[in-house]
Amino acid sequence: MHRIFIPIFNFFKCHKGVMYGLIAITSLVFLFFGLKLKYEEDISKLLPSSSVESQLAFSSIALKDKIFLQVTSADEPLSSEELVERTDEFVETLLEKDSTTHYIANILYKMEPEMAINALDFVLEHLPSFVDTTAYADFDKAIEPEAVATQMQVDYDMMMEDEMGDVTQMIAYDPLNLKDAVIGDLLNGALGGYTIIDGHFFCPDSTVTISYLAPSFKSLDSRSARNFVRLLSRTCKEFESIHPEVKVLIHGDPIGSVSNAGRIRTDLVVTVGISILLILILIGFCFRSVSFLWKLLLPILYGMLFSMACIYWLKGGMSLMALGLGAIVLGVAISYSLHVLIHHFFVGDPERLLLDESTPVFLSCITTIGAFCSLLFTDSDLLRDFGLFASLALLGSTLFALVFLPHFLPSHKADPNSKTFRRISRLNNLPFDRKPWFLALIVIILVVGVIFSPKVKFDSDLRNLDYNAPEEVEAERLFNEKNNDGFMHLYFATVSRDFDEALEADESLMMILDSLSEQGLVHRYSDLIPRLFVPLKEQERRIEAWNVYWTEERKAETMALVNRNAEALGLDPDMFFDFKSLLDADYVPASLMESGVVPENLLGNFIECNADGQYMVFTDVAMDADKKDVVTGALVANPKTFVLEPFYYCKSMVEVIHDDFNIAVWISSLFVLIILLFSFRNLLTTLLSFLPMVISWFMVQGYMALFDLEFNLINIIISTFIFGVGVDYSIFITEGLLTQARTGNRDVLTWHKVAIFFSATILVIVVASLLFAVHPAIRSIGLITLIGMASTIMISYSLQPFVFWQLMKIPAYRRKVLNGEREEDRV
Amino acid sequence: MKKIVRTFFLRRLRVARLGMLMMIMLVSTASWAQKYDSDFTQTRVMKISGKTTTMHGHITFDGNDHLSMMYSDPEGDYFIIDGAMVKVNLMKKKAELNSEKVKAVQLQRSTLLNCLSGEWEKAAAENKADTIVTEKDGFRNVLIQAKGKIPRGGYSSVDLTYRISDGLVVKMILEEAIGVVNTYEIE
Repeated sequence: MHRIFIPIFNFFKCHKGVMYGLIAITSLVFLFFGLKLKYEEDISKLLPSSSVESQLAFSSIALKDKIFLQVTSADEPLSSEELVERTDEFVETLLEKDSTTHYIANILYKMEPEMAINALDFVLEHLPSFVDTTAYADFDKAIEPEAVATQMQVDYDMMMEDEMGDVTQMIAYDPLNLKDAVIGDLLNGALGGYTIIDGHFFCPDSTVTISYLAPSFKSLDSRSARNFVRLLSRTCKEFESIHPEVKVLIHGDPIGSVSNAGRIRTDLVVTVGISILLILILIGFCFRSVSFLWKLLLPILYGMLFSMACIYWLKGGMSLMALGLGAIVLGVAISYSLHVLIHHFFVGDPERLLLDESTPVFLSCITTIGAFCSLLFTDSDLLRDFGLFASLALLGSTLFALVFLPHFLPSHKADPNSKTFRRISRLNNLPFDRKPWFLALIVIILVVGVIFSPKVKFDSDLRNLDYNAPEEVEAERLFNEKNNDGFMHLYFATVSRDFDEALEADESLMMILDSLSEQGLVHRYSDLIPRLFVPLKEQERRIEAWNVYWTEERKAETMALVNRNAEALGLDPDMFFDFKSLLDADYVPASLMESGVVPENLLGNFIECNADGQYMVFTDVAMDADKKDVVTGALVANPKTFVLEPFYYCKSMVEVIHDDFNIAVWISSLFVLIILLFSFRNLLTTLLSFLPMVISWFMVQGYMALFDLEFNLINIIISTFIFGVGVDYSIFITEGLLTQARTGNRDVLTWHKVAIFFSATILVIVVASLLFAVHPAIRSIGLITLIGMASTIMISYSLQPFVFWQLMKIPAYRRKVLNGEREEDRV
Repeated sequence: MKKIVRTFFLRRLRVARLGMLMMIMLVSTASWAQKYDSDFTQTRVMKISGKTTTMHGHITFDGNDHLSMMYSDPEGDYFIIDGAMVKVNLMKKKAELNSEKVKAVQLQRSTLLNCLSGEWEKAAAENKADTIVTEKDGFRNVLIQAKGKIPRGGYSSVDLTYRISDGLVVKMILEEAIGVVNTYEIE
């Protein structure tokens, strides 16, 4: 490669203005177009293709984005009246604090009394629409003379005890107690199993009030979510300090997202802070040069801009998550800059630098790009974007490091801290490859790793990468304990552009739920929707059935029975005029959804129409956590049904990504092998450079299995980084060994080892600092990379030179290596 | 279910109705604007069981749409009309209802205010009822009686006694179809 890069170097040496102009112009162009790059934040579009329903699980659904507020006693149990007062006060305080920011769309914390009265009116005005045809068998029994007599005696007794008149009013409408056959426990179901006290939602044992807060912002508006959650948490704390007798607990998706993002931010500040500090100390101490740092980072910055601009030209946009993951290529790119800078540190001559380094650096770059490019063959947009971004960023930074960077380097040797470098060299020159005990140890470690490697597991459940703050866990635990008997609950939805179709799908969902309930898989579910929101066609059928049942003759007979029994009990038959009116009325179908009877904030708990005009009908299902997958699988098999749990869909998509990734690993390995073979033109040398990568991969897998660590979506992608670094180190070591074998000069190997030392040290610092993270996703990166880095370095420093010198004892191989030198000399 | 129905529907309706009855008690017959600031006694009889409850309180009415009935016995209970809002705290049942959102409450509120303001004709028309007016010994008696089906929130009969000299209601008897009778006497 030096035949390309040295002439370029010489050209720019004579045309400095052209070079600076080129750097400035290209940088500005890349910056301009890079900034125009659009980022895709919708995770559903990043994962492999999935059904329309599953895509909805990732969309912004108001129900999913609701925040649960619970107010309960801190120590001494408070009465329900006190809890109601505190809840009202808290909501009032919160709304007041939000009066300028308007983050809250609404808070459902009590039932408006108007709603209850209007709902009763609606039911009475459209009674047949709520009468399932199965109820008529019970009607038959209820209007038998004996049953009427018995029921009216019960009515009489109840009216005698009535003080307010409300029971009497109800009996006037329904003296035969037909409502039991019609609606059963409908109203209890309507309230979702909650207890209502003074219009407020309570858990069944009346110790916790429950409110639902609907934010006004979209779920992807992370800034508003962060500010709002901050406001909410602050309000809770202030309220608790004013009222130490109560606890206010909050949980829900927006809270989870914010606490996750906050945890990641805190972790990154801590880990990046620690690593930057240590790296600065290391570089400052060893190189005693401020310019070293910016020379190290400049190629990386240039490479990133280059990559972003290229992606803008190629695709116009990319996933934000891929950009975040792509940051790991910086670790590889920094390694190339280090090789260039450290080599120059020793030789002090840019031309000599290019002569020695252009081939291994460029070869390393190409093989690493090959590893990342293999991701382009996968089905996942996320992996494709990541592969493309990483490849282009590496290409850009390597070209900068080999074309422009040498011009910023002085034409004399730097003045290293000789004592430090002597120590590093001493460490690097330790004859690990000539210590049988060390080699034996490495082989044992390696064999153990290989044996255990098939046992490594892949965790496709993204929930395990989710961070939940302790307060949030406590809030959710209390909610499930109080409202779901400790069972977990999930929302399922049926969806269609036609509301009645969604309702029909919900009907069939109920049948599956009924069956699952009988099998003991489902603890409880709400069958409210099909009972309250009846499709118009079904209403027509029910009205028809009502009219067929209540013939004039039957009505007359029934009223005669009621009147006769009323008189016998000393009641005025006229008081049952309302009942007669219900039987005589003409009914027409009506949509409860459009009636305005159910307020929007309450309706949103059951039904939602999204921006695309799709109606979603929700069903709350409580189940054992360990039966979640079975239940979810059975329910989402129902047409037009999905679960409001993105993690469920992520699981299958992540598994697809995992499979994709396995394919990508094979493709990249083959690519690397071909490039190495093409470059070294010797199978044994190629295998020698290739071996550390393969072995380190098995070791990573083996020790992960041994320490009961699992791969996940994040750390498996990060493992490409280990591949890249592993290949690079082995290429540099091979180059150094070949030079030593051909010329007897060990300097190149020593310099490469120094660069590897710094590269590895910096990476280990970065990776080790990730272990201080609390977020499980970040911590998982730290562990796998640390294992991978350690195995790569161990193999490159010991087994690789050992095998090389053993191979050199084979005359044919030795001849080939030396012939390679003569061929290079001729060139 | 019974518990829920009792809690949300009927009790609230009943409370609102009770309040209205109280309000009607306060009213006079004359067509000029009537203002009240006096004590009252309410007697409530469940005709079916014969149960009777007697309550006392103080009423104020601005002649327009602000009425308050504050009970001294039972203490703390109240019935208030504040514009469109009807606020009730009677017999341990508390509610705040927007009459514009609930037809039944709207009718009750309107009937009550019309009766208090002496506009019983309007009250009768809204309730699709007949009226019989008689005068004796300086008092005018207005009997409003439902004809046919009683609308929700309506009464089977309202018997109003106005003092002709100032047009104020001195006695009001409100009867529901189910046999609950509330009698209000304003001092």
